Amino acid sequence: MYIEKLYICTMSSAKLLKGTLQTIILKLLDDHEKMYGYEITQKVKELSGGEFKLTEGALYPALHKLEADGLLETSTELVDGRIRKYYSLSREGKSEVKEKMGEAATFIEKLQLVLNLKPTVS
Amino acid sequence: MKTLMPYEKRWIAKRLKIYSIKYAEIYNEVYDHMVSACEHKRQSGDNRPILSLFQEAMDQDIGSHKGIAWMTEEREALLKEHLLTALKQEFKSYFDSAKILWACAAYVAYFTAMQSLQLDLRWHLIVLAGVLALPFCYLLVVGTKNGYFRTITHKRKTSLVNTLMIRLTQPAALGFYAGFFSIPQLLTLFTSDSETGTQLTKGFVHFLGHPGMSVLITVALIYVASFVKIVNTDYRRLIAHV
Repeated sequence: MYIEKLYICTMSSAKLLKGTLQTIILKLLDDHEKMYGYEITQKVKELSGGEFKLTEGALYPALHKLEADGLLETSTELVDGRIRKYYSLSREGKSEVKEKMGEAATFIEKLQLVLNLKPTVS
Repeated sequence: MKTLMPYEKRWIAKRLKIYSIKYAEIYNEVYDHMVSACEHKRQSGDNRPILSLFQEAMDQDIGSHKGIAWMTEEREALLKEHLLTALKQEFKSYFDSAKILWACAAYVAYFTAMQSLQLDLRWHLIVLAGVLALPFCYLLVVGTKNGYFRTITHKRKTSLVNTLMIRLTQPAALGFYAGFFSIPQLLTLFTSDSETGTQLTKGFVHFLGHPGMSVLITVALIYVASFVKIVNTDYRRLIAHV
């Protein structure tokens, strides 16, 4: 019963996460100068207390899309004999973060109103 | 703190072969992710064998064969769109600005040379074929000079950017050969014998005349100039991460 509940919770988080993945990536890169793929997955997991997991190849297509849109810049470094690709915000990306964060804040605010999620004092 | 042993990293590289990752760009990213994930698990005290660590990271983070296929498909589509758009924009910019004058000047220089040499009209076709082959040659020179084509020559994974750039050079040349003449017919134009070449070839060249050939060569020159610009900007930037 518990496992089933946990599975449903993870599935729902994954679906909700999908729509906000780009905002999350942009925000993380705004807070950190540059990050690589695995580092991003770990940071998301860490910040969400293990609740958000970037699974099944969702991260890289999102990173590649942001790169193609010119919001991210990439650089490579040789780390321990292997090529590591780092992502960082481009100038356009930096201004996009503010916009996306504003959109997310408005959305969450409205969602709270619609679903009546605001804590009430009784 | 326990981390991965060198033989385990080699095992990961070997294991990745079953996923048939075609391109160097995707392979490098997946390989780094897999090694980082396995290292992190091991450092966190997970002492399971490498196979188990690898499979967990591969299934959960990358999405196994399906995830890699999707990643390849979307990366290919994004890069193709990016390079094509850049090429089209550059091509169009010649018509929207004074840059067209450069193409015209190049054509005038070429035409004057052709006239002073008093060559047959069919030599235009040979020049046109040569001009259309220039982007491919330029890409090969730039790529080889900077070692970017090492992924082809050293039996490594081929580069997606290289592959797409080579594909980009093909439509113009193939379109020319398929649309106007076949290669054997073109080769007959190199001979001085006036009876060589098909009637269709000769008829078509004479139908186009100097004005038609002028337009074709000017367009080809603009295409070459646009391609060279892309090679020197977008291509160099993208290939830097292979």
